[in-house]
Amino acid sequence: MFNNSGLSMEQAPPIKVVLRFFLTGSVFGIIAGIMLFFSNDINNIYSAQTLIITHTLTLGVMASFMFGALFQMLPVLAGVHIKAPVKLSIRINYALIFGTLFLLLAFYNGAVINYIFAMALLGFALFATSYIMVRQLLKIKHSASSKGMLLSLLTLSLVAIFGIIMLLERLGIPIWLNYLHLKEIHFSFGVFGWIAMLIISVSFQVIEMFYVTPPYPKIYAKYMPLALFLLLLLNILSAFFAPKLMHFIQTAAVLAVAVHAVLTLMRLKQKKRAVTDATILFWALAMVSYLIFTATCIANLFITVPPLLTASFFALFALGTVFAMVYKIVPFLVWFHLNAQGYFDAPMMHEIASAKYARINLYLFSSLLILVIFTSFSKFFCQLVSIILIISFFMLFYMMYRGWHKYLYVLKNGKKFEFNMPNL
Amino acid sequence: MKEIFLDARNLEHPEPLEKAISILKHLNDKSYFYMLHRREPTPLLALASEHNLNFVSKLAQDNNWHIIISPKKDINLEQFIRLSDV
Repeated sequence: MFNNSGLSMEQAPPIKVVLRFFLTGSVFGIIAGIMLFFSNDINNIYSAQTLIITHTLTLGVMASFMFGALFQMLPVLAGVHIKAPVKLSIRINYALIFGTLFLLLAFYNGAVINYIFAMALLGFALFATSYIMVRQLLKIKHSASSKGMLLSLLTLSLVAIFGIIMLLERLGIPIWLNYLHLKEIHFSFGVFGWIAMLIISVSFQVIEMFYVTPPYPKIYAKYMPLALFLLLLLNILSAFFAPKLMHFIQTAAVLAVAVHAVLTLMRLKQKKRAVTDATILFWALAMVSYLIFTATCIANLFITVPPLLTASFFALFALGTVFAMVYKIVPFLVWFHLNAQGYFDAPMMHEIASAKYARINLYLFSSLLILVIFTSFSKFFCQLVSIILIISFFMLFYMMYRGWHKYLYVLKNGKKFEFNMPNL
Repeated sequence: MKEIFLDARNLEHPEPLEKAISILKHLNDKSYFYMLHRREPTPLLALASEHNLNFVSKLAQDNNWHIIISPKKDINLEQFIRLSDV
């Protein structure tokens, strides 16, 4: 209960902290699209092009959006206090941008210096984020959501550790571990531990809150992130002692997240109000993509499914969630921060992202659900997908840029009001 | 004191906050804002705190939050809370 307590707006980070990461993520999304357009070896999972595009999406796009979301959500939703968020976010943002660029260059030309800069900068960005946020998360009373965020941040450290070990091996430093097993561990921690677990934890909080749905089953929400985390730890053990089990454990992880996709779709269907905006459909699209990803993983046990197809559906799951969150959060933050500072002429949320604009982006993005099926078989479709990806991220970037521009304009020219002045 | 009431339990985010802020702008010393919400509206309470408004929030047994905000400082807002009969 709050009763004129010391609760303060300072708890929420300044809007630029979040926008910095989100704008960076959109630019990397555009870059990923451009690279995909010119790629000719994307079907080969061992090719440099595949490595480059994958890490552009996971580090440049996903990590940027996820860090931005965590900087916003941890203080506001979990009551976590992050000290000097502006300074910290600038350092992490730049380290992530340049670390990712050096890594992409290292994958492209194999130069030792690029690997070293990539390890140093990405090591700083990922470990610092994980360490600072985990340390603060350990001090609070947990909800299912904050516990899941804690585990996903711990997983982020493991993703980084295994990634750095693999980079050392690429530099020729012997590590006495099977490179393919390391790759499997790095991959499963990144995909199911960091990305999927964070999406799951965030959805515990936002699906019910944003869309007035029934909550997720209590026992499920309490144990799901932990169960997923334990599965991934088991995956490491099996890499050392029973490598043949790795495939089964990873399939179990795939299915565990599929349960979440089904539960989320059920919740969205049970929402109390009939109005459906683009963000709900982005969430639904993300969950359907995950279920198709699951189907391709299961099918892969019996027949050979093109890896690009499987990866594409996972990407649509992750990116769909990003679009859903960004279209919901950014207009709200611009409006809320201006109102909180007492500006009369704060733009309404629909003036920053109109329902029509968000829907156009949704339809464009939805088309990818069909188009990615053909990317493994035709370069034309691969290029079509890349063009839609570029336009989608550009639309997202432009919406945020416009929101930021309006925010600055009102700060400079807006008229202030006082809440406690009678009869305003 | 005049009560301005908002039942936000079935409103989607961010409608409760949008409506609440719009009401707060028109409050005076002779009125208070009473809101029912399914969650504790942390951003609204932070905003009320930031703007030196008098406020109180309480969780009822049915898991709904009762929030009262007023610009009038020298008044105990708890007296207006109706945890059972709303």
